[in-house]
Amino acid sequence: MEILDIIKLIIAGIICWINFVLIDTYFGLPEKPGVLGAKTIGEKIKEIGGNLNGGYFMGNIVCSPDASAGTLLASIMNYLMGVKGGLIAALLVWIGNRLCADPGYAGTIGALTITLIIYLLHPIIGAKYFVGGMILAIFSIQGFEHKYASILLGKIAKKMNRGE
Amino acid sequence: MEILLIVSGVCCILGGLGVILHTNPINKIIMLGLLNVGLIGMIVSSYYLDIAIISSICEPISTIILLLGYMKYLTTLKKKKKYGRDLPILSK
Amino acid sequence: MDIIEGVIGFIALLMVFRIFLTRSRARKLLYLCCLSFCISALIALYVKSPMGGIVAIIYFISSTLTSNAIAYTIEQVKDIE
Repeated sequence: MEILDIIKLIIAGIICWINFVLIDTYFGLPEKPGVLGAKTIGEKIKEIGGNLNGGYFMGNIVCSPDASAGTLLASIMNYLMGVKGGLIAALLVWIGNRLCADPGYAGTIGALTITLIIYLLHPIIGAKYFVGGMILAIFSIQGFEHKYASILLGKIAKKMNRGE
Repeated sequence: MEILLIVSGVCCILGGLGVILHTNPINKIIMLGLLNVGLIGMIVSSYYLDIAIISSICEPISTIILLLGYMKYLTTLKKKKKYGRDLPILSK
Repeated sequence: MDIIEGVIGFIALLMVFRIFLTRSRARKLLYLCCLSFCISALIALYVKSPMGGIVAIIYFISSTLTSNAIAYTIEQVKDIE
């Protein structure tokens, strides 16, 4: 029983990772620093031996709620209220994006996409596992090792024609 | 086992130690943010949800006021050096 | 004890110690962002009602505002120094 839980948690983490990295890269987070604070973090990441575009990606996640925040908050509200909670979370994430001076397309679309995925996968993997899986996904980017994570993000950005 | 209470307690203790031990002012402000994280977690763990909403709205406002004060202090410090160099009569 | 809460709590404790021990200012902000993800998820798993979800959303957005202000100030201060 324990092993089944762990397998479900890891699968949910992989789904969340693919979801938010693809949406954030498609909306052009690695291209340029959206706010001024993201530039500092990108240059600091480059200084310790990482990639500059991956550094801009991580700085943009810190400085404004993007698709990563949309994924986490929409899965929380799906766990607590059902499908209509995901729509409320999308609205609140859009307001938060406007507070941080961003256009706010990435966060809203990330929240709507994870709502659709949870609704489709509801009989197999519950919404509770997506909350834990999102924490694992964000830990692998922001918390574990900054240098190799930024190199990996830079390669993905280069493959999708965002950034050099 | 209440995990939220344990994590919040460790945040409060290490944040308070960090405010004392670090010397750079921006590091001190980051550590104050860490202490705020623990405070909000402790409020939520005893179910005072409305107070948690109010204190988490007021947290960035207090941080922005501290940062504005620090930047004003730095610009004043830089201006004063120039001013002293321009008027050598006062320094003699 | 639930296994999801255990994993999230372990990651949160690891992040707190790494914030305390790292010397760089910009990398502390990255760890602080990961910690606020963890606390937001723990709040929602602890209070099992829609009000807990509202608290988690408002807490996360205001902690993002704090990080934004601190990073902006680091960029400005670098020019002055």
